[in-house]
Amino acid sequence: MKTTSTLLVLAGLGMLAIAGCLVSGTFVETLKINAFYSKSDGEFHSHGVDLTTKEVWVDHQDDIKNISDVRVRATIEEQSGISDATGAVYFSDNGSYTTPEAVRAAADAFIVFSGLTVPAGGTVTMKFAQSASYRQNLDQALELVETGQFYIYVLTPEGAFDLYVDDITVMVTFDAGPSS
Amino acid sequence: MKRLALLTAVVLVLLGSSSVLAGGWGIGGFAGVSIPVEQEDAENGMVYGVRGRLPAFWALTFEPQVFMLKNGDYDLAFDEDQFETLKSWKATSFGANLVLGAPVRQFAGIRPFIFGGVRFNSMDFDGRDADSQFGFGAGIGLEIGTKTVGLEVRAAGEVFPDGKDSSRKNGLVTGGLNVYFGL
Repeated sequence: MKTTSTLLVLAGLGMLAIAGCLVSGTFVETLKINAFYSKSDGEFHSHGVDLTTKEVWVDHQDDIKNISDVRVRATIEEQSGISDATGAVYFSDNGSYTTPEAVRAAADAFIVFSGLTVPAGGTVTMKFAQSASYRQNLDQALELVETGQFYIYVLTPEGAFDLYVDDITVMVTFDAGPSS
Repeated sequence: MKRLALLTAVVLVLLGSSSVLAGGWGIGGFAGVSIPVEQEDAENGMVYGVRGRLPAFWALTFEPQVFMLKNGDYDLAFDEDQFETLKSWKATSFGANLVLGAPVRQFAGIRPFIFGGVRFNSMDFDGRDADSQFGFGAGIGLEIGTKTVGLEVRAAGEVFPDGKDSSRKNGLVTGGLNVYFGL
């Protein structure tokens, strides 16, 4: 009987441990960025991202444990019809850069998305799911996103293209809950 | 981590071997529903697997098991009226339970039980590297049958730590068939 009681108590404690873990969860936040044009002269665009004003983030900002995923979605149109277009998306905690060269040379800026090609005169929608295959430096990006505020720089190489980028949305997945 | 997993596997095999030598053992298959708890990037999915049932000591049964879990795809709403369907995570779990109740080949009829145990989980997230961590689970169940065949239902809570001070939690509701052999 004593052994039975001990086992039941242990089982109960195990259930309580699991119940304690149940109060944490995984949440997804999205944030839209304004559309922009990118001409063929090696132009660059920067956008401040502030997750700390978003409802889901605010609800959990005091107990965020880690960022588990970051993706983007955008519709990119090449309007010149002359040549294919490509580009790269950098993340940084520094919003003061004013030239593509400065971003490329910065120690605190790094490429997160690159490799997508838009055919001349064509339109490509890069979905959240697809963006993962164009992603690099993920751990570094997740660490930066955890601060809640960061800058996105979109760099295009010099070339005879003319891009219009619209419906840009950043998606962030994070885990939150009391420390275990 | 790999060394610890290997050591765990060796212990499981040794425990299993000693139980079989002592008489009676069982094997079963199960399948059911996986219910992600508080996860906005997962919908209800499926789980299926196999397990052994081996007498351990006293009224306890030792259950080495492996199961595959796949959460359902989820619709992410954004920009007010748009959404995109995204794949959720899946896992392969190796582990073992200790079960109190429903002893192997002891009696026919209705056999309620509780169980708990540890697992070695390999979690696969779409577009990211797979992540392997130790986890744990516990639950309750009911088996109905003869000394040689049992139909069971279980409700379990499974915790999948991610190694970053957070974890995924899933409820599993499964049904299964167990077949018993030996003395």
